[in-house]
Amino acid sequence: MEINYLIINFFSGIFLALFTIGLISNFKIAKFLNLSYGSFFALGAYVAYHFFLSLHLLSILILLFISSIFGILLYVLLKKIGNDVLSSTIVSLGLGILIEEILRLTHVTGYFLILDVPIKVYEIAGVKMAQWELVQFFMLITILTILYALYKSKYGIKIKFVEEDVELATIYGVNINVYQFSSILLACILSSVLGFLSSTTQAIFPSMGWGVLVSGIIVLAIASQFRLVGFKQYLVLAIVSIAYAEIIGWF
Amino acid sequence: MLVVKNVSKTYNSNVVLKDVSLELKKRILGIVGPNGSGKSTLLRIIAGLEKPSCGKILFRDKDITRLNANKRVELGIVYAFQIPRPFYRLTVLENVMIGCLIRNGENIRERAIKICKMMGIDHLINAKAKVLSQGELKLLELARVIATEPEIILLDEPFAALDKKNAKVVKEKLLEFKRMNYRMLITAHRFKILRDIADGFVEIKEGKIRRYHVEG
Amino acid sequence: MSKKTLEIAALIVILVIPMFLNFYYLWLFCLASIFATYTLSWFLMEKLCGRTSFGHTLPFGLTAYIAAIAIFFKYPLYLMPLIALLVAMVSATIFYATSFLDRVKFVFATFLYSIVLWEFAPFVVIKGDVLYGGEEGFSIPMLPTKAVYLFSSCLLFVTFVFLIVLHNSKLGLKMMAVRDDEEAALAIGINVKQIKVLNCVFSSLFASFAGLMYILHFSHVDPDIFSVENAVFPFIASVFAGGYLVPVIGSYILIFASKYLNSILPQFHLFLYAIILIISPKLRRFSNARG
Repeated sequence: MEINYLIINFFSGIFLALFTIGLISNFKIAKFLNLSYGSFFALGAYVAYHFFLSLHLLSILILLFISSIFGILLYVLLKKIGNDVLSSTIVSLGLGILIEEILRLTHVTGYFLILDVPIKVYEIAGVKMAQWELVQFFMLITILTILYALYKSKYGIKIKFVEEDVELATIYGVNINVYQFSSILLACILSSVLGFLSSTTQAIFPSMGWGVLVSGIIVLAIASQFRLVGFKQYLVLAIVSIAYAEIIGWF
Repeated sequence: MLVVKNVSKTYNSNVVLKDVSLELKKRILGIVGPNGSGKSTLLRIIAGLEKPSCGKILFRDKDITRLNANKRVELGIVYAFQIPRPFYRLTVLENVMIGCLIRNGENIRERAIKICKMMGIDHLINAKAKVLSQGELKLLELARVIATEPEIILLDEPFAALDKKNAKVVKEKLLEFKRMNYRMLITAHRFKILRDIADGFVEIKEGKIRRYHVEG
Repeated sequence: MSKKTLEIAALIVILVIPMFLNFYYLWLFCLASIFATYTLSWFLMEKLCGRTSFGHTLPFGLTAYIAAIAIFFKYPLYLMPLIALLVAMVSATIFYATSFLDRVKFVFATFLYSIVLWEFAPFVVIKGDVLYGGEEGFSIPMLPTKAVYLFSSCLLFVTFVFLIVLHNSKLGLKMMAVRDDEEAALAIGINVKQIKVLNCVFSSLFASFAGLMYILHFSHVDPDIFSVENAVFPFIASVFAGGYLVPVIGSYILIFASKYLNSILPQFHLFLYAIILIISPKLRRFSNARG
């Protein structure tokens, strides 16, 4: 029984790690706390609700399209309006509320929606794992591998530069807009994908992303205390997320 | 009056001050030394903005080492920042009035206006501090310090980032403070800068007192 | 006539007018006055301490909740101000502890308080003959709207006058010094900790009493009192802030606009909130430039 709870909490930690990777990337590279992140999560869940049963995995293309549109909108708003951390964070909050309200107003017939899809469960070494848990596990491994390769590449030093000092990076010829745009777009897509994957495990409602966002911010705050740069911060983030999920799950 | 006894300061195993002792007997003591010698740290410790790793600060034979900065101002020890730190959203007059508030009493506004006149910034009293030039900010910083009616003024490189003209104005004000019998501890890079102002000098290098020269 | 006197006179006019209107408008003005007090409590912290809080639902909502539960357990009404005081002290302690963070992290931390309360409030359940609380919240017996309006308008008036007096006092000057530069304020002899504590206490106090007025007005409170909508309300109402009357008028406009937009489509007013939040950096820069 105990081992099962440990494993359940472990996969919760994996999910939290994936969720927070986008948050930390936005905070370090784009220099704001993305408070619309939870709304992208909800957006992903709603796309799954509407399209998964008819289009199956092709619905991910629709998800990518919709989340990209809003991600680009977020980037444009931040560039035009947000001029510091606080302003950008508030702008993202506004966009988050806007997305939430669009979802609410387009679904007035029902607040809580359920996506009834049978969950495939696999048993590996006596341990039961849901399909979406395995998918998230491999997603995390893949993303961490990509991040490792990225930081080792010639782009890695430029990303670290942007993380440390945006102004100085600009002076030294780094195209910060490319890195910030990529960070925002990919983070928003990641959050939407996670919402898509989680849509079968909980009720879908417009403000479903706030609870996860709170956990993400807490994990981000803890991981930031280590003051790491580069790939290490993501690795520590994953460890902190799993530890956090285990501790919270234990309570 | 003011005694610094065996003060040391360490930041993350980096020794900034080592066993520094000095005494402010005469009116003006100059502390000179290169960048990173620990001059500013020493002044901040005396002001109470930082705590020493060990050692004591005595004022009128009372140990004030653990006393907060605002309590030291009430006793009469006030610090002026190297880079002026005005309250940007307040006016020049309000900035000086804040200094006057420490002594309570009446007619704070009138006292503040008088101090602004003395410092030559009375024409700016209704201007917000954020529009002032570097030289004017320095004069405002000094006005605010004087407004607290101090006994000892701690001046951290008062001529830093000033052009020749403004440096001359500030020097004249410091000499005026000297004539008004204010005691001062002033830091600078070179003896030459404080030659006409200070009565004595302390040379500090790599966190240690190297030379101690007091006239008379 | 000075600007202060004109502002107070204008506020008196705004507060007296509803006495001559029908029940619906009296009810609406009562709600607006409660949220105006709530906004002013937030504004006190922002203007005089330089701290933007998205967590003022802590004193506001918590007082409403605890007062509702106390009334549910048949505690007399005259004890409710004591509850508001207690919640204010707790909130002030939390805000003060949070003020050790820098200004940006303060915003994030206070926002977290709101969301955490919003997430956990549905778990506040009392088991009686049926279950009370949860998502449904708590209800109390209705009180006469005129009586509630009398109290809420007095509260708003007192808050407003207090703010003006504070702003022009020595304490207000010290608060603004601490707002601009804490270390410089310390170096010039200001007891920064004391000033921050006082600011947190005053701000929490008015927010708590506004929360008390809220439950007395609505006779019902549910977890949505801690929602993002209420957390950002004072920020949006103050987006054009200059003096102290503007956030009051902003609150009134927001409440009336919300009710009107809600009549078109439920929760439609949140679109307005979202748009204002998005463009607020532009608006605030504008108001700062003028102010």
